Amino acid sequence: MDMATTISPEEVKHIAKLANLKVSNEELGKYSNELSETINYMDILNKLDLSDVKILTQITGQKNRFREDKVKNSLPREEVLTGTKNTYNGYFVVPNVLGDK
Amino acid sequence: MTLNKLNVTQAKKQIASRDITISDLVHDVLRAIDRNNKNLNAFLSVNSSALSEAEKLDQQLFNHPAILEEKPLYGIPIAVKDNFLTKGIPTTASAKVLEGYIPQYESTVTSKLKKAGAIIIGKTNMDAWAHGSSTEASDFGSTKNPWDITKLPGGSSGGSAAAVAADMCLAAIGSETAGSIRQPAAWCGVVGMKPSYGRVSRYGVIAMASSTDSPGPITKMVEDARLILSVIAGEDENDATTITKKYKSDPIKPNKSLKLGIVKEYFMKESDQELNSIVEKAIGVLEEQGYKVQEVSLLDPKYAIAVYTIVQRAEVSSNLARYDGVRYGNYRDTFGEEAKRRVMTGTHVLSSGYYDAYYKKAQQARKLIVNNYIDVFKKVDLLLSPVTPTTALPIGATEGQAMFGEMQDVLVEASSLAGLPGITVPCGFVKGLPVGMQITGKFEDEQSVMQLASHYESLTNWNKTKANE
Repeated sequence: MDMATTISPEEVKHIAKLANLKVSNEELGKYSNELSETINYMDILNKLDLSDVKILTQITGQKNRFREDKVKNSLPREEVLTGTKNTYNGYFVVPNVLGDK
Repeated sequence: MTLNKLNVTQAKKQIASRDITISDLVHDVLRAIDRNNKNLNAFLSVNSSALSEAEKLDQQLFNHPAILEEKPLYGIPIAVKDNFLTKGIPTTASAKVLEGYIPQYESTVTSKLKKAGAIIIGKTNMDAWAHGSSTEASDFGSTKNPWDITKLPGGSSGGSAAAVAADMCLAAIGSETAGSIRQPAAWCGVVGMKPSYGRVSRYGVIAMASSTDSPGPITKMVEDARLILSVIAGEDENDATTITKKYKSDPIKPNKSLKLGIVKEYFMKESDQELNSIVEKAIGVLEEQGYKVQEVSLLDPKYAIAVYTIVQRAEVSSNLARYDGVRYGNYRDTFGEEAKRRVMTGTHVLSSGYYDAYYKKAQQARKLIVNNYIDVFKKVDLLLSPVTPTTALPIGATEGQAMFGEMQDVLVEASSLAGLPGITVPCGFVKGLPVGMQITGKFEDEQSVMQLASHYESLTNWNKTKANE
C-alpha cells in the first residue's frame, strides 16, 4: 500500500487552525501519526472501480420537502439566554474578533 | 421486590391488571440504579422527580383507567442516551464542552415518549459526542459491561445497553450513526433496533453524522422494541429527512415465507471463530423452522470502514463547528482527544485539494454500497450475519487506537451508510460474554426484521439468561 500520504505536524497545525481547535506543540506529533494512519487506510478505496459510479448525495430519495410558512412562537429571550452567564443587556457576549488581539 | 427486572410488555400487563403500581416499579428501578451505578457508571444523571411523576401517574390511572389505551408506555421507566435534549434535565452527550448545559427544549423522541406516558428515568453515558464504540471515550469515565466489569459495554450507546442488561430500567433509547445501537446491545446481550434512516426524527438529538444518525430502542425483548419504535417513529416537521409514509406497526407474527440470506463476507476470518459459529448455529435454528436460507455476497466490509470514516468525520467536523461556548456550553479547548481527532480528519478530507480524493470518492463508493444492497435484496428479504467481530473487549482496549470505533463497527457500517433497518438479537455466549445475531432488512422494512428476530427469540432462551448483578 502507498504509505506516502502523511499529514505532517505542520499540516496538523494548519488543520487545527481551520477547525478552531487548540493543539499544543507536544500533541502535534501524536496527531500527525494518528491522522496519517487514518488517512492511509482510506487508500483501500483506490482498489474500487468508481469510474462509472455517480456521487451519492442522499439516501432517502426525497425531494423538496416544504412546510407551510407559518409564524410560530419561538423561545422567549430569557430562556434563550439561560445557557450562558455571559450576557449584556439581553444579548450574548461574544469573544472579540476584530481589533488588536 | 424486583420489578426492575420486568420487561416493558410484562410491566404493561401488570400495571393494567393492577398487580403493581407505577410507584413501586419506579422505586425498584431507582434502587437498582442506586445499587449498580457505582460499579457500572451507566447513568450520568437520574431524574430526581421520577418518583413523584410515578405517584401522579398512579393517581391519574385510578381516576381515569382508560388512559392505558391512550398511552402505550404509561408508567414505563425508560433510560435515554445523553445526546437527546431533555428540557430542564442536564444534557451533555458525555462531553465536557456541554458540561452544565440544560436544554431549553425537548427532542422529538423524548417528547413522544412522555406523551405516551413513559417516565424518563435518567440520562445514560456514551462515548463523548457518540464518537466511539466502547463508551471509554466518554469525558465522564467508561461504562462497564454488566456481564463482566473488566470489559467494555461497547458504544456509543454503552450506558443505555448496560442499563438495560443490568435491569436499571425497563428499556432504553440509543442512537446509531453506524453501530452505536447494535454493537453495544450485542456486547451487553440485549436487543438493539436501528430503524431505517429517517424513520425516527433527529430533532433535538446532538448531531454526529447527520446523513446516518438514527435513534432507536434498546430493549429486553423484540416486542418491546416494536412497541417503543411505534411510539417514536414518524414524520416530523422539524426534521425534513423523516420518512413521510405513515409507519405501520403490526403485531409481530412469524412469517416463514421470508427469504433469508447469509452474508458470507461478514463471517470474517479475522473475527472470533467461536462467535461466527454461534451465529451460524442460530441461523440453523431458523433453517430447521423451514425458512429458505441461501448464501449471498456483499462487498468486502473493509471498504465500508473507509467510506464510513470519511463521510462520518467530514460530517462531524461540520456538526461540531457550532460549539463555540458563546450561547451555551464551554469553549472549544474543552474538546476531548477523540473529538479533536475526528474533527481534524474531517476538516482535512473536506479541505480544498483533498475533497475529490477523499470525500467525493467516499460518496461514490457509498453509492456502490447502496446499489450492492439493492441487488442482493432482489434475491432475499433479510440478511443475516454477526453484529461484531468479537465479544466485549477489555477496558482499555481503545488505548492508542486511532480508529477503534470504525474498526469495531465493520459489520454494521455498510447497512448504516445505506440507511437500512437492522437489529441485534441475543444468540449465545462465548466464554460467558453475549453474542448477537444481526438481521438487516430493506429500507423501510422494519417489520420483517422484527418478525424474524422475534420468531428466533421465541425459539430460544438466550434473553432469559441475565447478567449478574
